[in-house]
Formats: sequence, structure tokens, C-alpha cells
Amino acid sequence: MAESSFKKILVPLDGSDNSKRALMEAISFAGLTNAPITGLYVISSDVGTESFVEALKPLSSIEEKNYTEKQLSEANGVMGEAKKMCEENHIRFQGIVAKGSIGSKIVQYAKDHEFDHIVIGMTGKGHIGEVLLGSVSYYVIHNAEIPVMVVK
Amino acid sequence: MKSYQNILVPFNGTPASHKAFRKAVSIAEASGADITILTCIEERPTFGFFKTKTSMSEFEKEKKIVEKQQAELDSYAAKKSINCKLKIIKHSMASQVILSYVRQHDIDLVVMGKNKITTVAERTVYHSTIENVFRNVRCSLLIVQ
Repeated sequence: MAESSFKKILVPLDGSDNSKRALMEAISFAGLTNAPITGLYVISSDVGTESFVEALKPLSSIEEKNYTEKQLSEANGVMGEAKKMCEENHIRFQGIVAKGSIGSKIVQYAKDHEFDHIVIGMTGKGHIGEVLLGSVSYYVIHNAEIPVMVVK
Repeated sequence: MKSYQNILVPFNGTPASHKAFRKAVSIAEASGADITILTCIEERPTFGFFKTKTSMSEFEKEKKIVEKQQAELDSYAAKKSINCKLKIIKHSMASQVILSYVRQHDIDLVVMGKNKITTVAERTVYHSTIENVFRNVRCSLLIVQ
């Protein structure tokens, strides 16, 4: 794979099955060129990207105190799982947890750190946002400046 | 490990689709897949809404140009010993051609260039060819910028 090789791959993860499939696909590409994978988990304040059950809960049910910790521990859980998957396939893995608007964060991160590919799941957790706004993956394919692989 | 068997490259002659093709070749090299190059020639009635004889001859003319372009790509792939299938289809909506081809031919990866050729018919329903493919395709999709 000469001119368009996979050197640095970014995989946005949210813990959904689809994002795991994206990671598997990224692993198979990374295996070809021995490229490292970076997993990116973005914690969003936007309710549209929450899962359906989570978004329907009344706001009062959210405990403000532990909310951030809960999100962080969930992010770390996803990263740990991803790391395990990569280690089984002998791929170097780096997990990043960031905060912000999910789509723009992914695009910005890929730009800042000079990734050459993004591998993203077609649908993630954010079913509500997908209906109202268009999905994260849709934002990414239209705004990223590098090749994007959308996995079903 | 997942490997690809059939890669589809929708080709429309733009620089982005050339790039997409080269990317598909490099993936095919690594995974031993076959490539299908698919070009959709859009039906354009030349005289208002009526189809005339001119539009038939226009189609033949366009087909010759596309055939030549596809042959060039084929010889590029042949150098790297990759099997290439060439396909030209006449239809008014490129994205539907792509989607139905994926459904019928067991395609497991679509590699597409991101570019701005969209017909009016398509824009009234979707913003772009890519958008329709992205929403409805069943296999993985690689979009090359």
C-alpha cells in the first residue's frame, strides 16, 4: 500500500455496537500497515447525542454531583475495552477522552493531530439527534478533510 | 481479520474519483479483492422534455469517452494484477444505480470520491449523490476527499 497507506487512524468511539464494528474494521486496516489507532471518546453536553433512555429521563433525576464522574468512568470503560481489542490483534492503541460538541471535536482533533483516516460507525448512541439534526458521522464526512470510512 | 472481496468504485471522471480509485487499488492489493468500476451516464433529454435522436447519439458519444477512461484505469489495475470489472449504466439518478448495484452484486466496500456533480433530479430529493448512498447503503463506505 504505497501512496495512500494507513499511517495514523482515528476511531471515534461511543461504546455502541456500531462503533465496535468500526474499531474492528480499523484494526484490520491497521494490521496491513502496522499503524497505530487512536480512540476518541467525546463527552457531550448535548442531549441529542445521548441514548434514548438517557434523554427521556427528567432533568431532576440527574445527580449533578456524580454526573461528570459517571460519564468519565463510562468513557474509561469504553477505552479499556477498545484497548483490549487492539492488544489482542497486536495494534498500538491510545485512548483520548475529550469534551465538547462531538462532530466538530472529532474533525478538529483529526486536523490538529494530522491523522490520515477516520473510521467511524454509521449510527451511534444518538438516535434522537440523528432524527432531528443528522448524525455525527454525517457531520464528519462533510467536514473532515481526510478520507472517512463509514462502517455499517 | 476482515478482508474485502468485492470493492465498488463509482467513477465519474473527476480528480476525486481518480483518487478514490487509487485508494481502492491499494486496498485491493492488500486484501486480494476485485474491483468494479461503475459509471452512470445520466439521461438528459436535449430538447425540452422530449427524447430525441440526438440524445441517443449523445449517449453513444459519452459512452465512448467513458470507455476510454475506464480502460486507462483498468490497465493501471492490471499492472498490479488486480481484476477489474467495467460497467456503464444509463440512468437518471447515479445514487440509485450505485445502491442497486451494491445490493445485487455482493459488494462489501464502496470507495467514493467526494465531489460536486449532482443532477437537478437528484438534488430535489437528496443534497448529493453521496448523501443518498451514505444513508441507504448496506456495506462500508470509504469517502476520499
